[in-house]
Amino acid sequence: MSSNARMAMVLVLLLGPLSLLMKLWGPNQYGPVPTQVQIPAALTDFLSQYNLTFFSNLHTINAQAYQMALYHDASEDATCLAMIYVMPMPINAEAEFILARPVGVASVDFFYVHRGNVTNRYPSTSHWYAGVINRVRLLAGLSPVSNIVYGIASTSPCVTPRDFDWSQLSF
Amino acid sequence: MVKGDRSYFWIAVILLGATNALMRPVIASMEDLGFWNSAFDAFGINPAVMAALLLSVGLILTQEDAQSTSRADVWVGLFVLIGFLIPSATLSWIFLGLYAGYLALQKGLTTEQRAGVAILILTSFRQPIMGFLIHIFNAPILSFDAALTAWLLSSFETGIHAEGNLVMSGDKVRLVILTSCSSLANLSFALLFWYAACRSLVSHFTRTMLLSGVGVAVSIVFLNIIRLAMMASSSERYAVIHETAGKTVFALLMLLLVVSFTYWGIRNVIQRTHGDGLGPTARTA
Repeated sequence: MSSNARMAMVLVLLLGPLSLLMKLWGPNQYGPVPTQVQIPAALTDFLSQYNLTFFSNLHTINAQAYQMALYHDASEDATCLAMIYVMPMPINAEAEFILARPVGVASVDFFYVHRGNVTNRYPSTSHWYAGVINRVRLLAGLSPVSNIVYGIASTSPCVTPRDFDWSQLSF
Repeated sequence: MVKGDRSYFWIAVILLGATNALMRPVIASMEDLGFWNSAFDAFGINPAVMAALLLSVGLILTQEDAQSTSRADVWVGLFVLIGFLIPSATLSWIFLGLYAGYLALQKGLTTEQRAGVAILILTSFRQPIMGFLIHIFNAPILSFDAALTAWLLSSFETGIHAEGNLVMSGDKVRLVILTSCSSLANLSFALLFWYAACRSLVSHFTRTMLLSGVGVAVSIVFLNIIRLAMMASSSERYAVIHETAGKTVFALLMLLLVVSFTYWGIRNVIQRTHGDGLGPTARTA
């Protein structure tokens, strides 16, 4: 047996089982699925600045896959029925168009907020990039940053959530 | 290891890489579905991936000239094995693909080994590339499926149209097409199987073989669109087709179509090769 063959055998026998053990013990790199994502309290607090309070959770038109939280203006001096739908989207753009019709009612406006940035379309590239960075952070033993895109829809013309200061939100 | 141990070392690294790449998804599948349901679902591993890996390993093992492990093999093997230590399935696929790229550069490979390496490259890079494409181009990919579904359904019903990935009937949503139902996801597996089967038997792609590939692609997309249109047609049909028996029937139909078109393409080439008097093993590099 040549020295190279011996080295090759040692490498496989040492690093092979170790790599499999690392897969068993390593951090879970699969992000949350839509049904596991909760609306953070900070977002509810943020919306309360604009007199919007949590009303209820709703399942979207495709049954259990995605959930929405409905916020409304419950103040006594409210002049119209403000309805804001918030949908956490952790995976990709597959739920992008659901926002157009949150519960069968056509939206007046819908947009996406990712780490404080507002976009008209689902921010696929920045979401993918943040996902890659999170994987590196996990491998380095650092905690991942939040990488959820929030779909925001408004079905009432009297409230324009697009004008809110979303940059206050860092998640 | 004896003289000629080189391809055995290659296979050991490849099998380790594949196990590392598949391990996390298998564990996730078992955690999600439970052991027996996951086993029934092939532990979440697409049969096309498994078939391509087995074909690739089988072909690389067919060696005519015994070669010993070189120093470069050891160093590259060390680099890749260290890469496999990273607990990421995607990175394991990428490192396996890089290793396959190294193998492709080796001189003295037999035609079968070259075919095996080519299949391995495609199998390894399929997952990270598809993951990237589906993430970045998710909206247009799903919109394409929705548009075709609406087009098909509109032949039978009025007022059907697509809005993004929604199939609409007037103002009401009939169906939301999600990523797992997209044609592209199914297509990548079907074309992987087609390529692996063709490449393992014939090394030169003829027009007929490419035509069979087009047949695979068109039939997979069309069958998926029929399935989506049936799901959009009524809640009852949705329940039957999306789950239980309907899901299995459509999976079997897809498998049958892919195997049939692939078989047709390969048989045509082999028959022509026999006709030329070259014999079935005649191959070009």
